[in-house]
Amino acid sequence: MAGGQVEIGQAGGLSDVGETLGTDALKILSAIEEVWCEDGVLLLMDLGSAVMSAELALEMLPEQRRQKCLLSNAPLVEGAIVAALHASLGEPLQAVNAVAEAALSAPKLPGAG
Amino acid sequence: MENRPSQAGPQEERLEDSQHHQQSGLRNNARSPLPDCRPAQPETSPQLSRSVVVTVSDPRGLHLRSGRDVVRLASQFQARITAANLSRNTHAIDLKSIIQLMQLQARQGHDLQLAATGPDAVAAIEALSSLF
Repeated sequence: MAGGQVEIGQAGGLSDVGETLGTDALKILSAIEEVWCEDGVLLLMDLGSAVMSAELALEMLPEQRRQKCLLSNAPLVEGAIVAALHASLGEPLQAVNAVAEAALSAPKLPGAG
Repeated sequence: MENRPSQAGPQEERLEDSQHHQQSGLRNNARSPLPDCRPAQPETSPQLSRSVVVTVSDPRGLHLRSGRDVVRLASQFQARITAANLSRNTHAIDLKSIIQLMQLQARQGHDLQLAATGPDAVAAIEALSSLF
């Protein structure tokens, strides 16, 4: 979606126990470091502990970097697609998050919602 | 994007200029009772409006990848650009938003009305028409 202009990382599963379900704050932290960009990093999460683990990961970041990270309320799949495209258009982090979060209220079926 | 040579070109149904001269009229009335004798000059940011109906030619309809190209192109213009799916009778959506564009659920053969308002409206509609 982003034409190779936007770095996208992923962090899923609990690495230490070989468990694929769950999230690991350290994995999230290293994913943030991996895709780091001075324009900021948008974090998209699915259900359950993903949010808490992401919050933990942010706490482990240096303050300067933490300020440029944003936890998004956007749905994971739709939000990732929308955010990737709008980030590639050069929009600022807050604007990218706003369009991604708008995907929450966008009906998929014509006439629904 | 599958930008094939346009076998189904845009149907330029409503391509009327609707330059709004109201503003300058008001200005003249307010400032001076005399007729404005300055030479005609282009407005600094003319609010042009253009509208066109295009037919979706892609057999897969307006999908995510082609939608991305539409949004990417639309975002290059200052004009406010909207689209409505006439075949589904949708309301007009913001063509610079991929999530809204997907809501048009446009299949091959559907007619979309593109409308642009802004200084580069003409160029925007011309460029966007070539994507369908």
